[in-house]
Amino acid sequence: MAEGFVDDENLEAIVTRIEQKSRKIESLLKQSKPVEALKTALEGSILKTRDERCKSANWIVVHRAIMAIKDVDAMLSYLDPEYYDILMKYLYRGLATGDRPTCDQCLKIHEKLTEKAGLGCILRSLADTVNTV
Amino acid sequence: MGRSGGGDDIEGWNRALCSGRVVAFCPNNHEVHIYKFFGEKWERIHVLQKHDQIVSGIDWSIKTNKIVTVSHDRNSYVWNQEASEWVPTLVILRLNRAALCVQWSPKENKFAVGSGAKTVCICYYEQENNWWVSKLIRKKHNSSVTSVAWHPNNQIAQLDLSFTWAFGVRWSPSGNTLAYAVVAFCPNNHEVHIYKFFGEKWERIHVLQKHDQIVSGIDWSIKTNKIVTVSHDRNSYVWNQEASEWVPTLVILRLNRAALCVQWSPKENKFAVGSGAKTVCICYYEQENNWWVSKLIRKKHNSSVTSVAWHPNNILLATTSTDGKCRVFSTFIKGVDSRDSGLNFFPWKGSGSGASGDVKFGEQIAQLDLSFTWAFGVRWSPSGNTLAYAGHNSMIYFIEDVGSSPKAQNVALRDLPLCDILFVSEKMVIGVGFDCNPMIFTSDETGLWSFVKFLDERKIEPSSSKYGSQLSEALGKLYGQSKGANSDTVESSRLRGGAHENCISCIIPLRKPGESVVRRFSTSGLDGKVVIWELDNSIGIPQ
Repeated sequence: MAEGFVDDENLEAIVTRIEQKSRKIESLLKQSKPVEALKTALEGSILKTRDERCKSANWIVVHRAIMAIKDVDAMLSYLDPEYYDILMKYLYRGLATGDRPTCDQCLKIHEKLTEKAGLGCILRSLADTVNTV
Repeated sequence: MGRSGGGDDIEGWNRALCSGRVVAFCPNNHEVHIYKFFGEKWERIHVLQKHDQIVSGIDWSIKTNKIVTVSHDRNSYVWNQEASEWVPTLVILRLNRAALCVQWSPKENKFAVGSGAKTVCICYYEQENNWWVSKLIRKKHNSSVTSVAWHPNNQIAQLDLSFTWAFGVRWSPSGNTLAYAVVAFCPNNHEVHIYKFFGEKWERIHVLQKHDQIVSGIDWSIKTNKIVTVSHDRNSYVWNQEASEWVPTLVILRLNRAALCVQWSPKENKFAVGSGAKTVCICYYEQENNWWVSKLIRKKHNSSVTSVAWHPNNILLATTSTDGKCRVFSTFIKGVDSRDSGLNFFPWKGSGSGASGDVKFGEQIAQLDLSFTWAFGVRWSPSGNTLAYAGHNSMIYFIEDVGSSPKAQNVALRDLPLCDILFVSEKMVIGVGFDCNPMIFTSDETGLWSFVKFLDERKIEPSSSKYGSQLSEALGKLYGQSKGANSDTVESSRLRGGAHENCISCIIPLRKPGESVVRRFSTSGLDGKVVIWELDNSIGIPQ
């Protein structure tokens, strides 16, 4: 039952997929749909790979979507609960950057997400050392 | 009408007193309700409202007809009945923590209050000033005073022990009729204490002293009445009751790390020990040599074995480990287990391993890789068809049909992780852990498991934040704003009103003989409390 990890040949495929996602998100943001953009960014984010470049590429895409969110409550009510854990992991990655605007935004979302999803969500993002973002 | 009894603890929620046909109790809030039995039913005749927080202790004096109440608000009131009203008199206890228990002295001229301030208050009435004075016993206690009891001579208040941790709790096989007669536990040291419930209170009847370090696991076999203890000193003792003493027999486990958990097998002829040495010891009794032999399962585990659970067929053992995996092993021992006992469980093994079909000792049947974090508290359902264990990532995993085609379900918890679980019936599980509150999980008709509710219904004051003041202070600092729970409303209260105040580490069933569904169980935790729970009829147990 262990998760299989992808080998190098498929890395290119993953990077292509991320680029496609990035373009889609840009267009969604232009249409002022930040919440949908975030959902698109989080979809397929559980990358079955240990490659740091893929993770970084995905992080850039998710980061763009996170920074574009203005109404956090609306975003959380729209987002499916299955994405809470993965969003929490990205929030911690954002907090780890130390960059002021990123951290402010991540903290804002963190507060609301914790209220909505509970402490279990935080625990899962901390405890899972295998599926990291 | 005579008085029926003194203060009685019911499920740790209400404190109730019976004085003939009148009852006074606190319905888990800041009031005291008095009910009288009229002919056929109970009617509420008085409500005593004066405290601000939950009333933790009530005592009603027989001769002088006074009620004394103490509360988490650190106050005490003595209520006198004037005409048809109960009139309160404040007693200033001078406590800076909650009061936890109270009892009138036999002559009813004094009462004793135990508190979380590590003090005991003895209060008496001063005639000249017409008020109650409180004298404090500040010395000696290192933690909260959980109960007080007066000696009949009115002079010595015999105070109960205040444990810092209650480690492993096991119940004796007998005495499930009236009360929970005997309990054995380790109070966070190298001893095992056995307490018996005599009529109204607990008395220590035995102390088992043989281990050198903390006793990490205890199990009491129902039919053979043996206690097995394991300890961090890498040893295990099997205790037999001879006359009125418990006699230990050393079992050499051959471990080079601490033993962490132990469980008797269903037939009670073997027991399994999980250890920090990444091994599991299966011990059985060798009649010829009159000693217990230990066989080790050394393979497979990559880290400490935190919990073990026997399948009802007495052969299969499930283990959880801090390497995140749950494994099922065969513990078939020639001479101890009969050949046909495990056959029906391995349908997929039938063709491969030869005609006999029995599986070698120590062979791994299944490995479950569902959790990426530490795993605890594995248990089989009563039929052995379902396996469940808790992960440290706030998840609980249910695996159905382990023997044939395993189907796993991951249930994510909203709050903090679980430490131990219990199968109440085939379709209902109770989990306990860092939330200090047992959680109920049930499986519906389609076999889907989900969280139902917390067992301990606590009142959450609307003003304080959901998580209690300590966490919201921390979160407040994190978010860098002044939250609603600012310094004025942040009292010393955390989420109060619950039975446990710290992580619950262990849950044990109290089985009535012949009952397949568990209606009563006990939980023990890091707050040193042992709480007995009863599932009342409002919680339907799906079978």
